Amino acid sequence: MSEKNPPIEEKNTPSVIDETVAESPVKDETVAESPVIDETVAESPVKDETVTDAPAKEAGRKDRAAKPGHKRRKKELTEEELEEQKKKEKNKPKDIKKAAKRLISYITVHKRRLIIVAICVMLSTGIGTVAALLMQPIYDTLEQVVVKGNMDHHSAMAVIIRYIVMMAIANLLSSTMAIIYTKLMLHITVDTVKTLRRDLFNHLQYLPVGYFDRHKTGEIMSRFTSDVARINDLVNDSFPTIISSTIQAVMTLSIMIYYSWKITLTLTFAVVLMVLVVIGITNLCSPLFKKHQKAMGECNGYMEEYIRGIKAVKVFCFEERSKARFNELNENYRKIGVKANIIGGFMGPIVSMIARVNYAISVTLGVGMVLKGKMSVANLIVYLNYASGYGGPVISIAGCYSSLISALAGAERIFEVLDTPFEEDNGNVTLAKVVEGIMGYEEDAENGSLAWKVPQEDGTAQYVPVHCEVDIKDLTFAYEEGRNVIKHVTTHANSGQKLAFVGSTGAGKTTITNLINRFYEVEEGEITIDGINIKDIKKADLRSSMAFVLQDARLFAGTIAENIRYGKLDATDEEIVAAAKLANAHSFIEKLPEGYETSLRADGVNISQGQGQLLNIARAAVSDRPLLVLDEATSSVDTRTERQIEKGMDQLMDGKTVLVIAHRLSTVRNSQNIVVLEDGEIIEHGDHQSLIDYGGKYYQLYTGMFEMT
Amino acid sequence: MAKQKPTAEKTKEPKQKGNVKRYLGFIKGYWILTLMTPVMVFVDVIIGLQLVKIMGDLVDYIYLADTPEFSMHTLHMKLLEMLGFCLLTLIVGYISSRCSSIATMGFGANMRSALFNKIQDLSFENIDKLKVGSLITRMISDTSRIQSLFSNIIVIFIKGPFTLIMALQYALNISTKMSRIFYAAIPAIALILIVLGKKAVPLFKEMLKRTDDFNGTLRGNINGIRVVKTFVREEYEKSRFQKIIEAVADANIRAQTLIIFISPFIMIVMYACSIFTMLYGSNTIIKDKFAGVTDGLTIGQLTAFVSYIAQVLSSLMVILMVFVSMIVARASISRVNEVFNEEPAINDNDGDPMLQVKNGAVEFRNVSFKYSEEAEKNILENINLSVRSGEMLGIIGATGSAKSTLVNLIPRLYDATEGEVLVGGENVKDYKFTNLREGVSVVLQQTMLFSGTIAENIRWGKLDATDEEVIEAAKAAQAHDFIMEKEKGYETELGHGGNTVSGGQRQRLCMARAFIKKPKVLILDDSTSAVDTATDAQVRAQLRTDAFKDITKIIIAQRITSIMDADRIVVLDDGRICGMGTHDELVKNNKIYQEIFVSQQEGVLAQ
Repeated sequence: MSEKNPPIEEKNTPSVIDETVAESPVKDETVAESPVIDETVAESPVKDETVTDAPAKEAGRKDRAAKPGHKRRKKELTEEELEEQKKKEKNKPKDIKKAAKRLISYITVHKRRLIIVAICVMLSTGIGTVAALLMQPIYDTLEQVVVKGNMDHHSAMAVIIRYIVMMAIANLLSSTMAIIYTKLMLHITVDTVKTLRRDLFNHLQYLPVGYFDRHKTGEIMSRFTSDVARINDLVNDSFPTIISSTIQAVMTLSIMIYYSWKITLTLTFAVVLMVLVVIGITNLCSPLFKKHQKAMGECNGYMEEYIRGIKAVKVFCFEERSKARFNELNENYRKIGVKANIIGGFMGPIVSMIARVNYAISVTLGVGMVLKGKMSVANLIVYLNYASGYGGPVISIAGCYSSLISALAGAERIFEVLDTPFEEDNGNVTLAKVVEGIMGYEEDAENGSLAWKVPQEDGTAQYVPVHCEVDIKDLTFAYEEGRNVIKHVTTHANSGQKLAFVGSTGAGKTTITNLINRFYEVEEGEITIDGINIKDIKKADLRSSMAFVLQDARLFAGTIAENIRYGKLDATDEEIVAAAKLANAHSFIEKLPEGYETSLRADGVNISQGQGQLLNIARAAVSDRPLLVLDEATSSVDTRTERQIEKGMDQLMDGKTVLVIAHRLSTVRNSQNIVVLEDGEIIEHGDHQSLIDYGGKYYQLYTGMFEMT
Repeated sequence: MAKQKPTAEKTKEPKQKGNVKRYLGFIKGYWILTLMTPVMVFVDVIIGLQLVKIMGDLVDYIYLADTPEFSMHTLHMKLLEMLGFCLLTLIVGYISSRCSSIATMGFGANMRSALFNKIQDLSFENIDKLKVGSLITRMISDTSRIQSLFSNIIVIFIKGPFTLIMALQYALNISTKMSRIFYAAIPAIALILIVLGKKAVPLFKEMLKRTDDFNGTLRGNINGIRVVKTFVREEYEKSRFQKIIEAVADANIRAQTLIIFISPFIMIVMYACSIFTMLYGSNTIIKDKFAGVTDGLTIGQLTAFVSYIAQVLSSLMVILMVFVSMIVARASISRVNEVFNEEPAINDNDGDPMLQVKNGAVEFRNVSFKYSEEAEKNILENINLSVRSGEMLGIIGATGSAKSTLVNLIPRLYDATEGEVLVGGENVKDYKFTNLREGVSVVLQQTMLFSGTIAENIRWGKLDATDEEVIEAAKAAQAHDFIMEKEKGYETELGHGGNTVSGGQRQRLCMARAFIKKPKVLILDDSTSAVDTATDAQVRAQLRTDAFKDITKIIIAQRITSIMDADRIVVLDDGRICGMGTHDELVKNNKIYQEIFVSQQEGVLAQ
């Protein structure tokens, strides 16, 4: 008897149960993985919230909004649900063949194991299917004894026992095979998932920053979670199912045809009908399901907004109104859901009914044949046994199709990431440590000082000591075609000098730092360090020469010590404490119950934004690199603390070339070179005193006549 | 039937009976459908078993074909009966699937509503504790997991035991002796399931935890990609991530391996049972035949019996699956329960509904405050402060000096741990929230706006405000000009969370929203930090106009310029008032004020 009943399939025929069983681990896996995906959805608000928390950050936010994608990113950050939805809608791969080919290459790495699996599946299913045939001689013998009475007790039992032993062996074999292939498949699946995730992550590390600006965190994460999970399901579940169902279908069909081709034909007709019904209902439901998804999106969107804004709700005593509206949306969501289910709900019962009618037809026809003497009763029993399991494999394969399609769509999205080109890095100038010898510079990793190693055409290398003289020449840049954020900027910082960029929001200050460390590539004009075009410097080496304190205080999950050590992986504990002291972070770290071993959460929410910035400064301090870039490094630190860390900052900047971006002008006052930007253009240029004397925009900014953020 | 439900609930939360009651409450309005579902499932199971029985009878009847007892009519009747049952399957199946899906959705909707309402009723303290992000996860994913568990319970969990019991019953009807096989098989399977289940739970938990780690690391990396790149830590990150992937994979394999063995094990038991039954059954049939027993076991019954074995054992599988889904849902349930069990930290049950805020006088009497009872240190320490009605009070202090905390006590967003807060001469606890907050309007540091038009957002402060009032409030908050610059003016849609306007604009809209209320006490918590100094000055000038004359204005600011012309300025340091007076007085004699002033001074001096 085969019946379908959502949401968990249950098939009672012994021969089909194999699949049900094989499916179960997969199901658990999906369930277990899903929290992950949801977590993604929900954690992001936290991130967003931390930003809104500090109005001081507002400045940074606006500044970043100048970048393409950023605005969009903020706005929709939390709507990964909707993203999920969109994905569902376009859940069809564009180029099935290509994606499939590549996915297969991931799986066929495990060729040997796969072959073993295939053999085991075939044997297991084959033996299982044939084992049912062994019932016939048993029933035949029984018939001989009971109805016809032409066999004695002893010889009858001898026959029966023989076949029963055969059955026992067959079943045992089939189960053993099943255990082997399920176990193997689990390993293959887990390995495939691991490889996919590793490749994704490794690739991601070298993608240009622009990629991350254009894609939401949740979107990237869903490549690792839901898309990988889809492939997981496909590999773990569908591969064995397809083999076993095909074998089972073919074998069952042949056996049935052998018994009676007439009944088989009728049954085949019913099975086709069953499949058509399933497809038809699915199509019929899809617009309703889409509507259902939309209603869910609305409901969740509202819910999220009002939970995020709960404090405002409370201040204005808006609770009742927000409840009422939510309940309305929630009810609407429910109603549409019910509607969608009116049709969808037919699926299970119809399939189940067809299966049973099928069975009834076989019985009726079979009985007729038995009465006409064309079939023995034993034949009928065995035949019916097969007939009841006939539709099973067909439905299983149909089920695989949809999981195949969605896995391929997932695979396509994963490969899209893997195909995104790495950030451009054609530079061949590297960093080296050199000492000055008689023959010029010689490399000495131990005692040397930093120098750029410029390879020459004749294979030798020329060494240029690192002074970090930064020269920006006629720089023009646009994130989007035609919208220049930086226009013809030319400026210069001598070794050990402090160059400051000031200006209002969207003036392009942060963009300059994005170009200096080649987060984005310079398109027009050039930036040189010590006379070398940064495009010629290998990215890793270029970045190794500079320490950044970014406005967005990013910390990683791990202890405080680990986070500071990020700047210099082999830093000793003393170095870390020294760096923390320099950044004025030591005192608050000491106060934490576990001191430097306090674990930070990934979003760093267990310390304040200001404290996070102090840790960022410590991280930069420990890295001790010749060029220092401070992008709103102290925007979340209150003015008193800022004054307190001034000394540390001075020490940090000592002897280094420093690029500073700040909205608090007190921090840039002592720069030798201040560049005032407006709309991407330099409007004023000079030191503090000369700019004040000039009485232009800087003067206005400084005297607080203008919006400084 | 209904009893099945509480049992199921108990397995999830053995400790708290109140929780079970709560979830039962969500069935409200759908009780009939919820109860109908198992009934229909029951009928469906019976039909299935009945079909097997008819089949067995049929086999036996056909063996009688050559005897006089056989009649075509009876045969046709039996076949018709069979077809009838099949049609019944459609009807029953449809009804049961309708019932279960409507009941499930209803349950889900009720649960979400209740949870949302509960969250709306929580006070600031609860929300700080539970975290907004986490609340949203609970609303979206945890509820949906519980919802599907509900559906599993009313359909499958009940189907399993039904099938088990009924199939056993049918088997017993055929032969009590043969049914003894179940006495051996069922306990064996149950035992193994329990043992494996016990082992599996910690392994699954471990797996979920590893997956959480995985996600955390991944998120940290993606969000911090700029840091990774500036420090050239790509390789380091790769090796770090590799370890985490390995850990997830290992945990996965360990957990799944256990599950893998469950099904083949049940299969083997099932095969063994069938084989023994066949052996024993055949022997019995043959023996009976030779012994001349006529009412013994028949071949048809034997075939039926074998299929009952399959049904009994597969029903055990189904039960197992539901248990697995329960394990997974358990975490969700406890997370949702955590919200439900959260008592609003503040309620206004003792408030007098008639009491209105009479005037804008605010007084703090020996007020101390800490966020949690466990905290050692008070955030606010013995605050005594009295503000006249209509006064403009500035509050300044370093981050962490508890400025916001102090003002949040006025509209009773938090309750003072010690001492009392008075508004309009009455203790804030004597007011109903609506009345108190009608009189005290606070513009929070976090600018929270909502989907809808600008006008709608401003009207939050006063629902029946006329267009003129809206414009007036917007003008006072210096928002009118930028609003008018927008294509649709006041009808501009603000988008999700009000994200289409900039930070400074958001602050001004939030102020307008508070202004329109015409409160007795107006609190601006760093509300002009993102607007330029000129606009800031204009807002302050507005506060000096007649419209605001009787309103007590309490202004928190970072910039001294924002508060220097206040009637009085309070300097907070580490939760204590360390100075109070006018700007000139404080500049002269307050060290902290001087320090802040100096750090901002240069700009001010030039003015």
